[in-house]
Amino acid sequence: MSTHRPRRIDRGEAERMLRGAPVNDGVGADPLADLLAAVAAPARGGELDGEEAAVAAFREVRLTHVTQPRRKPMINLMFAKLLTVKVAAMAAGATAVGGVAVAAGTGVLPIAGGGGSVAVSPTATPSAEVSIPAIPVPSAGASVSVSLLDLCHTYTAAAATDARTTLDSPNMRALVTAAGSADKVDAFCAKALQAETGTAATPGTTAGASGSAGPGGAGVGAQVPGAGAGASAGPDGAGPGVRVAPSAGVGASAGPGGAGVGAQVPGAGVGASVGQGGAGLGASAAPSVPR
Amino acid sequence: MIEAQRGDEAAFRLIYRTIQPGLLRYLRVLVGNDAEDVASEAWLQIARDLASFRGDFDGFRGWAATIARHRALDHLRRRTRRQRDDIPVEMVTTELAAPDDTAGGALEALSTEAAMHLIAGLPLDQAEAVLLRVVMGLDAKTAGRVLGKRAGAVRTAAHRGLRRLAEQLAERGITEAGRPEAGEHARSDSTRR
Repeated sequence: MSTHRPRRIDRGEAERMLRGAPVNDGVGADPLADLLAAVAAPARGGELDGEEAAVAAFREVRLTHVTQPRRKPMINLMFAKLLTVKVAAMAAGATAVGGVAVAAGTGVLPIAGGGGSVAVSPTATPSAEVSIPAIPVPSAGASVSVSLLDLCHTYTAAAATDARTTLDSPNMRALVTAAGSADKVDAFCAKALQAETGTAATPGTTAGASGSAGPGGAGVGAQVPGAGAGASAGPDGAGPGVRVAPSAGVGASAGPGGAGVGAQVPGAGVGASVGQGGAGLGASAAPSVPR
Repeated sequence: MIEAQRGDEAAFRLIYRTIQPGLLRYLRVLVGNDAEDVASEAWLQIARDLASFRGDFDGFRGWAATIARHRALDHLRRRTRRQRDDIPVEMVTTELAAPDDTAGGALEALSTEAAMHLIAGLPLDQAEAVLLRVVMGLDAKTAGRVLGKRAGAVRTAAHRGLRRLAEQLAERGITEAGRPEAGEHARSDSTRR
């Protein structure tokens, strides 16, 4: 049978086949057309297994989007203030959820949140726990954004003189909100600043008993307008994920964190360290944690 | 499309069911058995970024393919780094996409699996071009955008791929009619053309 020579396919016919149009006027079978049809056949068993996971992710994102607008005015205000305080570039802080971190971001794709300059997950509160190697230590640090840390620095410095007045200033409103109340700012900042060092050393971050929307997922991202960077971290049902977007200016990329129980999340470390470093730091949160 | 972007779950499911088989098959040529994992990573990102996507469903297919391809390349880079350093992604890809020896035997039935094996045996650029066009249903221009090539280059690669596939089909003893019982009729029919 190998004596048969293949029929020469001209460009026009190839184009028709590639478009999925019937060849030979639909009369008589053509093995190549059969092959292409087989490849384009409808789903077979198992191919749609990921549907629930994908839908769960979709639902999760939806939750985040619904809750975001409510906080927007406050966030905008906060960032407007911070920007006037000459924040040249902010890096993305990100935290992770659960044991599985799927981090992704090539810098090519649009960042979630689109036009908004700020993407903050609703659970950027002390509801997350930082587990420093295997021992869970409740702390606010992991999910405290760079900007909140800045506020904490400011607050701690000013508190030495007059804490009350400091907290009353509008700049501090975000901090008070994040801490829960003015009384708790002290403790909040203490933990946050303490955790800052720990976070840079890439502790594993686990989901806390967060009761708020976007269960467990806490991500805070800062974005410099025009720089086209940002961060978003959000969980999804099956495999909670975090995405770390690159910081401003540099085409940094964040790679996946991989999977594993109690996984360390490279992204967390990057967010913190780059934030303190300021502009121009190209960070890659590529898989620094082999497992 | 618009429904899904507004958050309609049923619409999203529909999109998933429409796109996923093709996406998975495309990824299989890129990353072999890890296609499922890479596909689910891609869907996480698609779900997240869906709201920021602008365009119609044709555009969406291209967008989804781009995301999947990036995830696949990331995956390969990651795997390469774990194994050996300094090997270009292309080499690894080609290696991984090498056809299975079992491809030939199952061909008679021309199952999706067998067809995929054949396509996976093509040079990578041809396999990608053919799959993006046939399986993902992209036109040459969109496929070109996904691959970072000009439409003409994609067209050429896809055509070469088809020609090669036709040759392989013929070598494997499948006649014009594609069935064992295909007789002289089918052949003379084809030579007339």
